Amino acid sequence: MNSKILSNTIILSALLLVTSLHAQAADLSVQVLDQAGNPLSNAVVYLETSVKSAVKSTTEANVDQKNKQFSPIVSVVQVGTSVNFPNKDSVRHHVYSFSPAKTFELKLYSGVPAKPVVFDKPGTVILGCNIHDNMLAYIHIVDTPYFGKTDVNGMVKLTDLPIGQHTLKAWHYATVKENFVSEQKVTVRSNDTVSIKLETHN
Amino acid sequence: MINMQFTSLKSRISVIFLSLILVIQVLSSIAIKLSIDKNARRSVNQQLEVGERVFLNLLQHNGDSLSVGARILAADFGFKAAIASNDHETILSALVNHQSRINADIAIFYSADQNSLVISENLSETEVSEKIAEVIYAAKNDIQKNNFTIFNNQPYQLVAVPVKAPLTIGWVVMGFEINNSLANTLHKLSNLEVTFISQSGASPWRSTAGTMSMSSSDQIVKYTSIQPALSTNRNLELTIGDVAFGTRYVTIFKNINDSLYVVLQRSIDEATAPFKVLLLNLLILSIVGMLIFIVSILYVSRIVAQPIVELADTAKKLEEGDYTFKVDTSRKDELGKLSSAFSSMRTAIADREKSILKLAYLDEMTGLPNRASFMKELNSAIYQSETNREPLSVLVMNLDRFKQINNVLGHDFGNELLHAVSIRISQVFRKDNDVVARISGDEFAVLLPATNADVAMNIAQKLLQAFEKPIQLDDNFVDITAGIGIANYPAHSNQIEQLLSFAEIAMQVSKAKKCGPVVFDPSFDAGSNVNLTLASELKNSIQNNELMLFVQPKIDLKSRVVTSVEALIRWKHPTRGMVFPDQFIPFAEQTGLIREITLWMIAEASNVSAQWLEKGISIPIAVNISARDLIDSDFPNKVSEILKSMGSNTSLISLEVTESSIMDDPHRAKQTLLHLSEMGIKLAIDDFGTGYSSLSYLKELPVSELKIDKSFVMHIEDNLNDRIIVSSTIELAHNMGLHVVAEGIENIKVWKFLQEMNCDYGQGYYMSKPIPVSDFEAWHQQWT
Repeated sequence: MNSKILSNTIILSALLLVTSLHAQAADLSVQVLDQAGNPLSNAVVYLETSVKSAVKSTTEANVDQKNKQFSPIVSVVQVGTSVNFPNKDSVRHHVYSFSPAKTFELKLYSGVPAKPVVFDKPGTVILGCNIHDNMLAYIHIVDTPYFGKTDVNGMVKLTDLPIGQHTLKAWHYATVKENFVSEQKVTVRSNDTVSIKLETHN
Repeated sequence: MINMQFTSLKSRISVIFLSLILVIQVLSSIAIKLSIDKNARRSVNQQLEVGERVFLNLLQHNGDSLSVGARILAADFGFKAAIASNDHETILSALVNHQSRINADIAIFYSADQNSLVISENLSETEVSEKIAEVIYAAKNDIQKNNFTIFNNQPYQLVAVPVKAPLTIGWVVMGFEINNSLANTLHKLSNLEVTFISQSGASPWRSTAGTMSMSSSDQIVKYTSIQPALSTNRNLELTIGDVAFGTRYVTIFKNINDSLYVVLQRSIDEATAPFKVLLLNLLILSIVGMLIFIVSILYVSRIVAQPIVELADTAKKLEEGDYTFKVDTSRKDELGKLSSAFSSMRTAIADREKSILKLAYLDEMTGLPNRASFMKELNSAIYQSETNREPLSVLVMNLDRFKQINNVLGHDFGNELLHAVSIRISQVFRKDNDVVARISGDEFAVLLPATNADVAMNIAQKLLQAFEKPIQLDDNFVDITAGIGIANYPAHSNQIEQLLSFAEIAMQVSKAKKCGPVVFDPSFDAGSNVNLTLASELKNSIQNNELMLFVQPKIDLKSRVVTSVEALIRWKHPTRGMVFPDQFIPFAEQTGLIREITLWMIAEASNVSAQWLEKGISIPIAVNISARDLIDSDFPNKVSEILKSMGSNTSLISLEVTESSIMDDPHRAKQTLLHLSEMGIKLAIDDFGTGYSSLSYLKELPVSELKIDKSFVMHIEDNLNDRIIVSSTIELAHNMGLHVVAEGIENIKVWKFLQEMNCDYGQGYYMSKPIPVSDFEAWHQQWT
């Protein structure tokens, strides 16, 4: 099943803008749609290159707890990123994850925990609060500096990408197949736009 | 006895009302019984419906507690951590721990991702994983829904709850066994019998738990097996053993493979049991009510019937002639009115009876006591004489010729005469003790207490003397003569009837002998007894040919020629020998047998006449006829028939009638005689001079001959008076154109006297006494 990557239709209309092979960089606009053609927001889109880039996008990120909700609901970080979980509510929270990518718990606390949690393995971490069952958030950890999260129009723009053929991946928490990551080869040349379709629960 | 009871008013009232109340009781009992059955079934049905709801509620409740337990476990962070770390042992211990917290029977953790299964009980993983998937699938769609499944033939109620961290990482499933404990709980709540039956896969129906006995459960299973389609949520009646159960099948779950039902049941008998107690109480109440009713109806009917019974007793007393009782008239109701009516009826009847009694013992015509009264007095007098050891005499007096007086002078005259006679008799007897009574038409009786026969004889003589002076009625003077008989107690008899009868016999003797009062003598009675025997034998004498014809010749006193013979009857009795007519003719007259005898005589005379004619003897035969024959208007025809059948000449048969027999009924006698005369039969008046007939009357009769009674003729030679009577009679008769026959000629002197008096014919012993017919010829030849 996993091998049938393209069974979900990915229609690629590539508008690749290739500047130069090394020094040149290009952007890639990606639109993620569901099976009905509606734009999917909060989809994580990232490009994996064959040569690991030394570039680090960011080293820190925050997942706030506000109004007994995680914010943002979906975060995407590069491996090795420290994520802080500042509690902006008056009540305490007990943030935990049993996900294999990162298992941790921050026992009842308020304010900002003393130490951030370092996510050192790629994968999906599902966050919960032990005392607020409704609180749910995802952190998708990618092993590439080229990633982004779609906006309300299902659009995301990956910038400064090395020109060439790479693997474009997309993940969404509501895919019918749980924790499914779509994969496709793309050639980054110029500022092209790619559209990805994911089958999700409504 | 029973019949008697039902005929009495009292018992009829009781029976009617008792039957009525009995019918009402029975009908109401039936109605109550029917309604109880109906109500019991309805109540059973209601209980079953309620039972179903209770059961569903119980399941819901159990599901809730399972759910709570499972949720608590699923929410436990440690449990989640154990799951995350895939720590089977920890997961199992957590399951067992939480299972025991809520007393669940099974707890399962299932992780779809890892396809791992942790089961608290020892069950086959294969079976469980297969069935748990269905449970979880159902739970995903509706978390609240109760889930059921059958593991290893044991049904379970299960609840599946997801474990979220925070997304679902597995399922906690907790369950209760559907077992006897659940059945008992339901039984306690609903008072119903509970049986769980299930069918799993291809295996047959089986009962998994329940409150019924094994055999009863088996029967339910058996019944269920043969049903093509189970009807659930509907009440039916199922008989298990001998007990009828209201039964309701409730589906617990049913899918392609497995089915689980609960069978709720309620014994109808049990449901009716409290009603039966009610019915019994009602029955007891009814019986008590009936008893009270019986007592009161008996009391009421007694109130009504008792006075009626009393009145009936009163009426009985009236019937017996007891008028002395008192009738209670104090009641104010209808029965009181009836009692008053009874009371006044009693008085009225008593008064009436008194006057009837008075009439019964009084002779209205004379005002004297009657025969009944006399007998009563006689009875008490004898009783008194017996006590006082005194004699007592009864005197009976019978007037002579009263019948003739009555006939000639009329009944009114006769009655007046009787009244006058009674006054004259009463004048003789002044003593208070003497009782004078009129005991029949012209017969009077006198009771003389403390009187012996001799004294009674003197009194009788005095009585006769009192009648020597003629009785004057209007312008008529009547000479009264009478026969008087006397009988004496205790000399003759001590019985009243016999005493009176003896006095009567003596009186008859007195009359016959014309010799004044006669005291009874036992020899009279012997004679009367003989007469009675003869009387009964006389009836057969004609058939037995015992009667004989004798003849006495009648001679022409001048020429000595035999002009005629008088036929006389003799009875040749088989044992007594020759019986003379005066011993049986009076009786024959009384009984009417005389008519047959007369006809026999006429026939016999005709016969003799015919025989004589053959021998050349042509002498008429005269036959005597009685008063009875004279009043029989058919008599002439009978005579005519006899003569015709014998071929006799009417000129050779003549008839003789006594003067007194004509006077019994002169009018009819005249008719009969006229008729006979027209037939050519000569008629003669017999015994002339003894009766009251006048010559002027005789003149009207078609007679040709007059026979002067022998009492005048016999003493003609000594007695001048008799000679004058006879002589003048002969002369008168001749003047009227009648021949005269003198009877009783006993010697030649009488003959000569009569010859001088111009008497035509004569009869008597001087010529011949009556002789048998066979001797006549010889006498006749000797006479001429």
